[in-house]
Parts: sequence; C-alpha cells; structure tokens
Amino acid sequence: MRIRGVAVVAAALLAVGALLASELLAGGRSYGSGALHNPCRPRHVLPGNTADRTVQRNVMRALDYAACRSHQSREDLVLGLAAKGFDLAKEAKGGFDIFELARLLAVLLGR
Amino acid sequence: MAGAARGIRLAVLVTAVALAFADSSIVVLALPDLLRAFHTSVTGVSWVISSYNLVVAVAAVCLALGARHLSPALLVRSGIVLFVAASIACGLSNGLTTLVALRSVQGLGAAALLAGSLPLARSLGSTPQRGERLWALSGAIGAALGPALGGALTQAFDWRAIFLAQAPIAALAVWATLGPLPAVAAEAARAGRLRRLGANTALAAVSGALVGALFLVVVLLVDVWNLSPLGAAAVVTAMPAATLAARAALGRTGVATVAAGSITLAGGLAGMALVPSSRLGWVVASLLLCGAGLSLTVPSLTRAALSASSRPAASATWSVAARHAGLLIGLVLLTPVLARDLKTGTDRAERSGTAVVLDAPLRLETKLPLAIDLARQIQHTPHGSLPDFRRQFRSAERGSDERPRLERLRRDLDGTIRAVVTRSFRRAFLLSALVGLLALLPLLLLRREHA
Repeated sequence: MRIRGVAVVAAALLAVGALLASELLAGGRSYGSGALHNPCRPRHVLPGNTADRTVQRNVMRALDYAACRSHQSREDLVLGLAAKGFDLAKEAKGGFDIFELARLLAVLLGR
Repeated sequence: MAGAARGIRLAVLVTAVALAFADSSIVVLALPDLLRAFHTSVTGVSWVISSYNLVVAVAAVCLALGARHLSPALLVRSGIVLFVAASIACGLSNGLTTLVALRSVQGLGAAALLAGSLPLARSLGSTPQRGERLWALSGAIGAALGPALGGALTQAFDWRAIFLAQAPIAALAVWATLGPLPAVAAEAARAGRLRRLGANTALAAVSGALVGALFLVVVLLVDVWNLSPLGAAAVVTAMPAATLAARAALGRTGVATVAAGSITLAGGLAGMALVPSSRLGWVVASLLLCGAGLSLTVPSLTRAALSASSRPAASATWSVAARHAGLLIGLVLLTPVLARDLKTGTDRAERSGTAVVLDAPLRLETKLPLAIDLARQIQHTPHGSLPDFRRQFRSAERGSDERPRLERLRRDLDGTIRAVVTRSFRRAFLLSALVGLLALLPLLLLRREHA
C-alpha cells in the first residue's frame, strides 16, 4: 500500500515535470516578455539601398538617439510623440492636422 | 426491479448535485454576453458568479449548524423548488441587479439541495458507501464540466439558455425524494474532528486553486486568444474528460493519492503560467493535469470530510461550505492580481506592438499611414482591452503591392500582443498553483490521524 502511494506521487511529479520541462524547452520562460532593444546600442534594421530604406534607417537612428538621450525606449518616445500629435490634431480644429501632414509627407517620399 | 428504480433515482439525484456544483462556474463563458446585454463593468458582471458561491457557502454553514432536525428529503425538495424557480427567473431576467439577486436565491436552493442530498444518496446506493462515493464524484465532475456546459449553451442559443436548460433537469430530482427510502443505520464515527477539519481545509484550498483552471483559462481563451464560447468549451472539456479517466484508472485512494492530486493540479496551473505559445495543445495538456488532479483530490477529500461523523448531512454541508468558500477566496485573491497585471500587460503590449510596426520591412508610404491608423485605433480602445486592427489592415491592403508583407506584419503584431498579454496571466496562474499546493499542509492532519 505504501509502495503504491509512493508510486502515485512519483507518477504525478513525473507528469508535472515532463510538462513544465517541455514548456521551458519550447521557450515558455521568455514567451511574451516583450523585451525592447536598448536604444543606446546599435541595431541592424531595414537593410537595402533604396532611398526609402535610407530615409527610414536615418529616421530610426534619429529616434534611437533621441530615446537614448532622454533615457527611454524608442517605442515610448514614439508613443509619446503620437499622443502629443493627437492632442495637437484635436486643438487644430480647421487648422492643420499633424497626422494628415505626416501622411502627405509619406506619399511624397514614396514618389 | 426495485433495485433498478433505486439506481435511476440515485442517478437523477447525483445529476442534480453535479448541476448545483457546476453552477459555481457555468456562467463563466457567458460573461462577455452578459457584459454586452447589461452594458455593465467586469466587476458588476463578476457578481453573477460571486453571489452564487457566497450564498451557497453562507447558507451551507447555517444549515450545518441549525438544520440537524430537518428531514433530508424535505431539504432536497425545498432546495430543488427554490433552485428551479430561481433558474427560470434568471433565464427571464432583464437587469443585472435582478439577475444577481436571483442567482443568490438559486444559491440558497443549491445549498439546501446539497445539504440534504448526501443522506438520500447513501439510502439510494446499493451500499451507503457507494452512494457516498457517487455523491462525491458528481461534485468533482460537475465543477469541472461547468464552463464547457455553459459555453456550449451560450454559443448554441444565448446566455439565458444556461439557466432555462438546467431547470427541468434539476426538477427531475424531486422524483428521487419521493417514495420509500431504505433506512441506513447511522455509522459510528470513523474518525475524529481533526480529520474532518483537515479534509475541509484541503478542499477549500483545492477549490481556490480551481479558480485558475475554471475562470482564468476561460478568460484567456475567449478574451485574449479570441476563441468562440463553443471553441473554448471544447478546449476546457479536457478537464472533465481527465477527471473521469483518472477516476476510472485509480481504484482505492488514500492520503498519498490526494497529495499526488494536489501536485498534479498545481502542476497543471503552473503549466498554464508557462505556456510557450498560443497553441491550444499546451492548454489542453495543462488542463488534463488539472482534471486528473481534481479527480484525485476532491472525491477522496469529500469522503474524508464525510467519514468523520454519524451525521452525514451536517458533514456534507460543511464540505459544501468549504468548497464554495474556497472558490470565493480564490476569486477575491486572484481577481485583483489579474486586473493589475492585465493593465500593465496591455501597456507592454502597446510598446512591443510599436516595435514590430517600426521594424516592419514596409515602404514609408505604406508604413506611416498604417502606423497612424493603428495608433488611432489604440487611442479609441478602452484601457485594459485589446485593440482590433483588422479594419486598419484591410484598408492598408486595398490597392497595395505590399500585401504579403502587410499580412505578415498583421500576424506578427497579433502574435506579439497576444504573447505579451498572455504573460500577464502568469502571476495569477502561479498564485493559484500555490493555493493548490497549500492543500498538502492539511493532509498532514489526515495522515497523523490515520496513523
């Protein structure tokens, strides 16, 4: 009876261990960590020699530089700028909308 | 023939018992529908679940203390009448306050039904022990089956069907209380108060841990992984299936089996905390462990809680109170943890999603307008909810020669947001696993008394 009890507990530990080990091996520990790149370190993004890629790479470098200087992630900087842009767009009733201007700029650059 | 009739009466009775236990979690998959129907908050709608468990726990304690002279058949009959009437009224209710009030009445009926049903099950079983075993097993299966049953009914009809469908099934159980009942000699106390206390405390801990498997998994599948109620119901069916399979595989049980069950249940919940992707296979594997853990713990602990006294009705009622109090404590403990982590999780998801869009290999003329539209959509999504970007991507794909890249970006963005928000459930799942492991401590009391 005692041996059976030990066997049942051992089987439970084995089943749990097998599931957890396979999850950890499949990347369960880091899944969804959402780790962001440090903007103060160089990153390799958007390879290519077209004018579009060159412009984008330069914009990204500028964003990384500004983010590094202001001790925040590039993503926080962009989200902050977007939030300010929305505020400006709200205030500019009948005037210019910064996002419409950005759209126009993007289309012009594409050409 | 008399034996067959007795068997059918017992089956009908334990089905009603399983239903009363299933009602603790049966509404979980209908919560999004209820939110829409009553234009209310998540906290408001969570009272549809909490009120039932709270009233069952409180009423069970009152019944255990004060209803020792009431006939079990009378308790079951009055409980079923209340339960059935409240179920029909719940199905017809048009306001959240009314629904919560009626759920409380339903809980009152369930408490009376559960309090009186064990002595009846003991009388109707071929042996009192067999009746007791079936009563305990129906509780475990009912609890595991609740979300799947509710999800299937919500998808096939709507949330009202959950309440209306259970009324006739519960009403049938009145028949089990009619007619002569064989007398069962009162058993001498097989063990002491310490054993009963240990078993009930462990039952409360297991029930608290079940909040992770019954509620958190469903919220994750429906609200984060976007499964339909029926799809989520199909996934969570893994749990009752494992409960039945493990029961069939194991014969006699003891303290070691219960310990193995607590470890398995906690392991399944830890498995949910560490899912490495949003593939359903990981959820099914974790739920199989949870179901097996449930099967190894709840029936054995319930029997241990019942075996302590010569008044099985009172013992059964204490065990019902312990289980529902455990569920309630689990809800109170885990809900704020999840709410807080989801808030920070959605903020993290926003940042990670921004990184995905910035690094996407799209031309600027495609990327910039899309990024602006996505940012606008995030601005319009209520805080704590996940944004739906389908419309923005459809608009960007229209007439674009970068469709395959846009399609890949949409997939990457969905995957990143889903992964980050899924991780927000990690602490709540680990906490529920820890609560499940707490069931090991009271087992020492069972062991000591056993020795």
